[in-house]
Amino acid sequence: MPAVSYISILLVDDDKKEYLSTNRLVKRVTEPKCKLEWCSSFEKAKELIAQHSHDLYMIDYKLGEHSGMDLLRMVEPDKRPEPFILLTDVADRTIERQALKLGASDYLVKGAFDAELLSNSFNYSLGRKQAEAQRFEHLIELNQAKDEFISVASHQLRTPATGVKQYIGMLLDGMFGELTPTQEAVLLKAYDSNERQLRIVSDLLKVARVDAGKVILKEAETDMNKLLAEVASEESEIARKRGQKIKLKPASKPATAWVDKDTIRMVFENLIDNASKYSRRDTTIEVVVRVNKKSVVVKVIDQGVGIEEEDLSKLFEKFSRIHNPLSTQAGGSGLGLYWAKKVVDLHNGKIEVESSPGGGTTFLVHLPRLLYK
Amino acid sequence: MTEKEPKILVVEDDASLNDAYKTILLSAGYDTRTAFNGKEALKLAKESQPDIIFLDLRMPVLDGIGFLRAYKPKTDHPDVKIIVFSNYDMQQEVDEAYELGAERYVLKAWASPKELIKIVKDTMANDQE
Ligand SMILES: Nc1ncnc2c1ncn2[C@@H]1O[C@H](COP(=O)(O)OP(=O)(O)O)[C@@H](O)[C@H]1O
Ligand SMILES: [Mg+2]
Repeated sequence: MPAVSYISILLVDDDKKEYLSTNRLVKRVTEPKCKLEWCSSFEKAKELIAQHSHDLYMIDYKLGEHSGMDLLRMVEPDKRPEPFILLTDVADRTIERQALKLGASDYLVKGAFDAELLSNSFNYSLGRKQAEAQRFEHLIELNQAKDEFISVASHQLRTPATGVKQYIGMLLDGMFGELTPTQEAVLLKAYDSNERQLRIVSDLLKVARVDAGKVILKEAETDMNKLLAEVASEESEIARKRGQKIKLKPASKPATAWVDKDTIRMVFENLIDNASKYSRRDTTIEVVVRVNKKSVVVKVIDQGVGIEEEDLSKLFEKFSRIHNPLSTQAGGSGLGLYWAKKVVDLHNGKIEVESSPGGGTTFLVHLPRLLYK
Repeated sequence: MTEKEPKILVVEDDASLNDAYKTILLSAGYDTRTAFNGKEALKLAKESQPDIIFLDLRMPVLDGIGFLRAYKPKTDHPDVKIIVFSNYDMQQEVDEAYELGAERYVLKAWASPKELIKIVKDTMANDQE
């Protein structure tokens, strides 16, 4: 038995008579073959549309207290009717223009169309939907190509820089004879420059990965008191070189968060690294762990140069290097906080900042305690 | 306790890096050989019976994963320590290498000459335990 395929159409109209007369016309449309269903309530229609229940939607302009166009305005892009034809009682240019602007594929005046016009309108709307889907797919492909390019380019940059690290490293280790203090100082500068380049490449790769949606979290119960103790002790070496101390205040009770340990570890490495970079000598960085009802909150508090109020909103943007008295000397890519926020968001967590110029900065990270299903 | 000096095989296709690792390891006194791809590495490994292999992943002719598949560390060479030494930190590749018997993964870009030697020492020390 050959399968007959129909185009499923949903008519959203609060008037049953309208459904009956439209259905009579739809039945006479043979190209494409159609099946009309009817929904009279705005709320129910919204639900059906969100589930992409039909191939095409015909929506009345007036729906009780709502306008059919509210179905376009009030809902998220992926829950809008696609494609859809707006129906009105009278021809009205303003409504027509508005409807097309909001993405309607066609506009029909009730009583003024026959089966042939309907057929044309359906074919046009369906064709447009397909063209749009293709364009969308093309955009996704372009975007993936971009992500791939960044990833390949960054990886390739790593190899020559790794070579530089080896050869300068050998000289610095005295493998080819003792160095004069000046030679050593110069080589150290070259080595540090190269290290910075390697870090930027790593940041680029991390960001490319999170932007491409390729970060897969392996969440598990993680003792945040322990994790922060480890990070604080790792980072204390760098802080000590800058004449700073890191003080850890663990929570008094078990601080178990539901997180990907390696990823969250890097978030705190970033935050503590920033706290140290943007603070002067003889200051202390405090790391405080607290347990709330639903979250574990970690605060990284520094006594550093602080952040101007107008800059606070830019902090988490890509490449947001913000000038401050220590930023030139500190160096960086402006990608650390962008990445940190992205992965904290992926955990359903939250990252906040409080700061005043000269008065130090506090970053707060909220992480979920339990697995919510 | 007399520590046995390990024999090392470095598998690295970048000529400059290959040379650097050889120089560093030789000057630290280790018996070191180098290969430029997985196929050469298989041949050299058979001849020289290394204790430690530093293995790059992305290489022409036969890549690191291909080398591991043929070399079969788990069944055929359980005593050889394989350090995956790659600049591609793709989780999937790294997981696969571990599954095929690699002992450790190190991002090449993070290892300075000093750290390279430390990796050798740590690997040998772990072996004595
Ligand atoms: N603890 C802090 N104190 C003062 N400024 C900070 C602090 N953390 C971040 N910033 C500011 O935010 C900017 C962005 O930070 P980040 O994304 O980590 O990039 P980077 O540190 O590489 O510049 C920095 O350039 C700096 O100006
Ligand atoms: Mg930073």
